[in-house]
Amino acid sequence: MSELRWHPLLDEWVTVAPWRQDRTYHPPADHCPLCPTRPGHLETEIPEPDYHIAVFENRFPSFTAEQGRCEVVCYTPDHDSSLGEQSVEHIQDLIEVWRDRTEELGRLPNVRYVYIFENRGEAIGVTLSHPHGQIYAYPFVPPVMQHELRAHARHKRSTGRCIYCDVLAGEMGGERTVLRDEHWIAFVPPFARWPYEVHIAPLRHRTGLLDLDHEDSESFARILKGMLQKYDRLFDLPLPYVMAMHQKPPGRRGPDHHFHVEFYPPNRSRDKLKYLAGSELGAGAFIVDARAEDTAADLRGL
Amino acid sequence: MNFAVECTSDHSHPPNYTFRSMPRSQSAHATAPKMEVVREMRPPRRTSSATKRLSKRVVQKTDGRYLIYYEKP
Repeated sequence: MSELRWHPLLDEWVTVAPWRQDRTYHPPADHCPLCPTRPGHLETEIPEPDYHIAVFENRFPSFTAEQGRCEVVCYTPDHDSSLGEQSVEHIQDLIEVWRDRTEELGRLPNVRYVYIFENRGEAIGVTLSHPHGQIYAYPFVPPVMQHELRAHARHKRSTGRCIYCDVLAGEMGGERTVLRDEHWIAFVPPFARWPYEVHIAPLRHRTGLLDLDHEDSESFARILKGMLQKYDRLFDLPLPYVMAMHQKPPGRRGPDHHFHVEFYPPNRSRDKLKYLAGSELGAGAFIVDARAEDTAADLRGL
Repeated sequence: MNFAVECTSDHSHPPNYTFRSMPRSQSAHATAPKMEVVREMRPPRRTSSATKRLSKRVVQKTDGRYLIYYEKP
């Protein structure tokens, strides 16, 4: 199991998992461990010759056994595809998988947070190019979620309202909107920390994936696909990004939250990346080179 | 205070967490992973959202890890 070390200066856990140093690193496409196993070839992580969507325990987990879980979600058997290239129906299926994992992992006794995410692109540090995401079931609430939950609770105490609902109310003018329908919105938040950061959120208060009804899921799939297609058109390349789903911690008595998905693409232009450096890493203070209103207009026009 | 010792959860040296700001509500699970905690769980929503689009098949891999196939019925 990993060793959890407490960082007394930052009030947060650091997870030490030395075996991850040996994880699979940029294998050739014909040795991809996330592809289905082809007859006559070496067995991959998925022994069958085809699949729709597959989930398995990470071979190099950060959390395992009583600590939590780390899962890999293979979106499609097609090695050269991407999440944004899937049909709306397929993404709806994927949403059902995410819901199922949220419910099942949230039931594990020591799990305090179920975090669904995707790292895409070598610029992000991805070591397997096959379209896939990951799920971490943590034995603690991670720091970013802690910050959000505290801000939400503080706002609720002082105003009686959800802080994210108020953020969304501020977006009704449309200046920072990228995509929208009657259920969901994709927008560049005024406080974006990355030039082309985007949030996707339900307009009605939903605490997490388990709160979504059929209409919510369908709309979520459409907006998610539309947003990812815009991202790939932005610089005419498969845009690297981190996709991070923020939902409430498991448990009926857990704190309230407003479900949303955050995207952090590192590109500030086609061939220039934003790096986290002195101010961001050393001081935790993000400096952004672009205005949210301008980058939203760029994305909206695609 | 020796932080190198105090900050680790090495099983051979059970840590003595004494930091005032440490979230003790979280620490139990990180330092005593075998302790079972009973929590009240949210019942699954039984609305239209619960309509299943996929069937689920769980298999065990040779190394003990699980693999779940989500399939169209």
